[in-house]
Parts: sequence; C-alpha cells; structure tokens
Amino acid sequence: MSEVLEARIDAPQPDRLKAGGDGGNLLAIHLMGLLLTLVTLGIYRFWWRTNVRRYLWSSLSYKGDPFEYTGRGLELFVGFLIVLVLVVAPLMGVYFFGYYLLKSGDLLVGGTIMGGTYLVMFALFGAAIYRVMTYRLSRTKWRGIRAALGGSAFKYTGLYMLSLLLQVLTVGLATPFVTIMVYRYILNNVWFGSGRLTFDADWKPLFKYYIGPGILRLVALVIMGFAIYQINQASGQGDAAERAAVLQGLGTIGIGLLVLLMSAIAMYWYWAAVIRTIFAGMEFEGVRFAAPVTGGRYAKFMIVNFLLVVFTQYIAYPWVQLRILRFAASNIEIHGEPDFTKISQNTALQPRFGEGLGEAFL
Amino acid sequence: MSESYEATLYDGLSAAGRACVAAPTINALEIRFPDGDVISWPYATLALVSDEGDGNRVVLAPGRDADERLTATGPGVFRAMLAVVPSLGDQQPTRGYRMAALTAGAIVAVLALVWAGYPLIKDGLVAVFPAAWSNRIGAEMVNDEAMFDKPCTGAAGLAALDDLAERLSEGAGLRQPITVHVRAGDEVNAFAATGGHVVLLDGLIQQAATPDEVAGVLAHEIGHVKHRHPLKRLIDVAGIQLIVTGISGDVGAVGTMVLMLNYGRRDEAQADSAALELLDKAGIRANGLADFFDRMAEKQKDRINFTGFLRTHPPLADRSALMHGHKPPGATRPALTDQQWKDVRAVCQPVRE
Ligand SMILES: [Zn+2]
Repeated sequence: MSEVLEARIDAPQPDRLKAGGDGGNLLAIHLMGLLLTLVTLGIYRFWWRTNVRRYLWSSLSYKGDPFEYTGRGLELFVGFLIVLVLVVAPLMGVYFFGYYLLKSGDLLVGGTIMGGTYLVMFALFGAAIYRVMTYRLSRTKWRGIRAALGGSAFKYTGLYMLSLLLQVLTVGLATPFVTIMVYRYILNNVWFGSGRLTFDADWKPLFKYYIGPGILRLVALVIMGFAIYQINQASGQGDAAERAAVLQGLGTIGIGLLVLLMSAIAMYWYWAAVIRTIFAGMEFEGVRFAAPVTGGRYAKFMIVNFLLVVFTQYIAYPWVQLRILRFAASNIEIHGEPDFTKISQNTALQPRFGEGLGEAFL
Repeated sequence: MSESYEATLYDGLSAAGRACVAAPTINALEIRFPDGDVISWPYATLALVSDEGDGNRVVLAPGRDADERLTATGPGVFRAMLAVVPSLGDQQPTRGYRMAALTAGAIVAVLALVWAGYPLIKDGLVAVFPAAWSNRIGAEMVNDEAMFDKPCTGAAGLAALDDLAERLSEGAGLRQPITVHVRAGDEVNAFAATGGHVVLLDGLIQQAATPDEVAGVLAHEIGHVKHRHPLKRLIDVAGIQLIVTGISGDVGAVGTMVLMLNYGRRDEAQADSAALELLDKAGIRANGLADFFDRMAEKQKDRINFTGFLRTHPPLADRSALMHGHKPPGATRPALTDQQWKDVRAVCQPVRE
C-alpha cells in the first residue's frame, strides 16, 4: 500500500486548464446580441453567436495563455446564405415536386422522391454536425497556433448513418460501441498546429454503465406503447367505459414517463464513464489526459445547470456556460507537456465559410 | 511611458515562446529580447486579443489576422496598455453589469414600441392587402389535405349553401363573395379563411336539427369574414413567426394551423353581433345559432372528446342569452326549403360511401 501511495506522491502534479470569465459580462454580451437580433429581424444572430464564443474561448487558458476564437459573424452569415441557396432551396424544390407528383396520382415516383429527400436530409444532418466541429476548431487558436479538424464530413456522414442504423437494429444496445466508434473518428482527426491527437479506447467496459438506463428506457417505451394500445382498444365501448379507459391509460403513460426520467438520470453515470474513457484514451504529442469525473458529480452538475436555466427563464444561462468551462477545467487532468518547439503552424485544413449546414439542420 | 512589462513572444510559426520585455513607446510597442533583438509593432494596427480577466495579463497581436502573439504579464498591465494605446480600448467589447442593465432596458423599450405600434401596422396591412392574395391564401388553406377530409361535392347541396351565403351577405359590404366549402368528417366545426372562403364540416351539418342552425353558424363565420378576422390572425401568426424565426433561426411552417387557433373574446363577440345583423337582414330566426350552442354544450357534458366548434368557439356566458333574447325586426322565413335542406344534408353522401 505504501508503495502505491509513494508512487502517487512522486508522480508530478497534473496540469489543468484555467477557467475564468464573469457571468455579468457574458450576460451583457447576450443581451446586446438579443437586442440587435430583434432590431435586425434575426440577421445579427450570427454576430451574437460569434461574440459569445469569443468570450467563452478567451475565458479558458492553458499555461497562462488564453484560447482564442477567431471566427467572424460575416463568415457564419455567408455560410448560412450559401446553404440556403445551394442546399435548402433545391431540396425543398425536389420535395415539393415529389409532393406534386404524389397528389397528381403518381404514388410510386412521388413517394420515392419524397422518401429520398428525407434520406438526404438525414445524411446532411450528419454532415452538418461535422462541418460545425470543423469550423469551430479551425477558428480556435492558442499562442497564435490554429487547431483543425481533418477527416471528411462525407465519411462522418456514413458513420453517422451507420450508427443510427445500428442503434435502431439493437434497440439502443449498440450505443456504447457507436459512441466510441464516432469519437474514434472525430478525435483522431483533431490537430493542434502540426501536432495530432490520437485516440483509442475499448467500448466494452462502457456497456455495464449503459445496460441499466438502456433497459429502463425500453421498459418505459413498452409501458407507454401498452397504454396507447389500451386507449385505442377502449374506443367505441360507450362513453363511461371509454372515459375510465382513457384515464387509466393516461395514468400508465405517467408511469412510463417516470421510468423514462429515471433512465435519463441514470444515463449521467454512463456519460461520466464515457468522459473518463475518452480522456484516458487520448494522447497528444506524448501528453496523456484524464478526467476522473464520477457519475454522481456529473449528474449533480447537469441537473443544477438544467434547474438554473429553467428557474431563471434563461437569465442564468451565461453563468451556466461559464460553469461548464469551470467544470471542464477542474476535471480535466493534463499529464506531461508537449515539446512546444515541435508544434508549428498547420497551413492546410482551413475551411473558408461558416457552419451553414449546421445553421440549417441543427 | 518608461514602464515596461515582462512578456513572451510567440512568432506564429511555433507554439514555443521567446522571453522578452514589452515597452510602449510613442507610436509603437517595442518588444526587446535579452540578446538585443528588437521588434516593433505599430499602434495603428495593434490588436487586442485577450479579455481583462484579473487585469494582470494582456495578449496582443500585430494585426487582426496576424498569427504572432505577445503575452505580457504584470500587475495592472491590461489597463496600463489600454491607457497607452487608446485604440485598444475601442476593441474591447462593451461589457459589465451596467451595460447588461441598459441593454435589458433597451430590449424592453423595443418590445414596448413594437407592442404599441403593432395594431397600427396591422390595420395598415389589412387595408392594403390585395384581394387576389387573400383569395389565393384562403383557397390554399381550405384545400389543405393534411388538415381536412375530402371535399364534398353534392352539387345541389353546395348550390343551396351558396344561395344561403349570398342571402346572408347581401348588403354586408364584403369585398369578395362568400365561397362555402363542405368537408367530410365527424367533427362538429366551421372555419372562416381569408378571401371569403368558409368551411363547414359535415359533422356540423349532421348535428344541426334545423336549417336555421346551419344558417346561424354560417352567419357567424361570415361575421368573421366581414370583420376580416382571418387576415388579421394570419398577420398575427406571421408576425410571431417572424420573431421566432429571427431569434431561433428555425424556419417552421405555420400553414393551416392558423385556422385552428382561437379568436379572442372580442372577435367572437364581433362575429356574433354581425351574425345577428346579417340574420335579421336576411329574415332568418336568430335563435338557430343559440339553439346550436346550447345543444353542443349539452352534448359536451357526457362526452370525453371535445366538440370542435366549442373548442374553437369557447362558450361565452352571455352569448346564448343575447341571441335568445333577440327579436327579429320583421317577418322571417326558413333558411332553406325542405328540398334544399335534404340536399345540404346529403352533400357529403358520395364521399361517405
Ligand atoms: Zn367564431
């Protein structure tokens, strides 16, 4: 035992990020954004978002140097317009063409076209997630060095569709496998300057955290499905019997919702395990990470965030945003230090426009 | 001016820094290295990168798009640098609790202004809204298949309803003639859309005991049309949609949901009194609508599913009394002939089978 203790004492203290920021300042940025967004009928939204990100990024520092968000509102606006014209408008055109065919009696072709546009929309949703991450990382700097996300939104989309399919086919049980698979793709494509993040982890240890909430959720769905079946069965049995059946069905749905809530809370333990696994599995230029966050602390953190936002009608939202930074800073351990002389600027991997797809689909 | 600060320069090429001293001079920031090297960043292009934080650190760049960074540290260095280079102060976003309070006040003022000016804007829009557009929109709404069952096509029944609508709207000063549509389905309800389009659901016709009841409901809907409630509500919904879309960026459809929303108490009262007037002019007993309301309320008591017409037309306490107490000024005659009433009740017959 003393050996273990000594080893721990001997190990150098891990480094941490430092989180600062002032809720009142951030509130002022939010309110100004809201005001100008109202006055400009929504167009200022992109600049609002940019100002908030700039503040949040700069509130986090490592080794005394702050992170920077270098995105511009105009980039987001132009990206939004491009997607509106090149993606959303044509897609809607095709959709309504299908609808028109369907209405004029061509069920097969019309239905196929409409189903096809839904599928394309799903795929674009996946691509949008990746584009958003790509843009944000590319606009993140530290000590003047840019971060980046390589890989391709196209491949990520394939992975995204595959993971949805797997989750549906296994009634959710594939979630731990899918979680690690998706993070493996994303994280192995994260760059900071010329330095690259690598990640690997085993999904199997996560399974025991998932199985509880996963089963609870299935139970909830079965209960609610049964209740709806009951209500449907009762219709046409006469007024009094119908009313009794509906009341009983509503009660059963209530029980189902309660079980669903329990499942959602139990999921915090799963997500805490995911966070631990992910940070333990990352390496950056010889630096290792850890995030020893327990399920209980993570659940408390998330529930308090939720209550703060709900009970103050979003006024506390800026404080919640800063709380998230502080939670990250206090829970992420950085073991070791990269050789900074070997990390140089990466000139490739620069997206030109904003997160237009995300604007349209997220 | 003679003040200088410990600093680290990052050259934008590597993440490794070089220790140096930052010294503000007349029109440039001088960065001096221990080996005697000096770099000079002119104030004209100097960019502020960091926030105030605790005030003991400032991060600067030689230009807005430059990759080089200088991190200077020392007590009060942030304020000191801002004092020397006034243009940096302009780059600091407006912040602080006082600013938050002022902005919140401005938001309230803008909302109050919109609130106060909105009725004027709405009346203006209603006045200039082209009739052809109202007509197109109304036709679109009543033909929404997701919303209503199939259209009923019994020609004789529809002709009888059109006659009744014409008799009711004579002299009402409508911009467009009323077009009556009947849709299949059991729900007891009726709607008015823009452009004089009125929808009666077959359920309402089947539940009505006399033609006078149908005439009463029709007169009520024509009352809405007369006061242009459908267009006003459309403008309301479009306005809300504009604000919601503006803030959230979510481009959701409003569509026919407009028809399902309740009118306010004032609009209902307006439609009721217009209905009485129209019924009087047409020489139809005003009791029809009152009877209909009473019977619907009675039915609702022992049914779980709400009756549609009462859901969109919440019973007003004095409504029924007002109509029951109403004395027609002249002689009355039935709203429809027996044959017409038969035709109207059968208007959905082909669809039902
Ligand atoms: Zn009404």
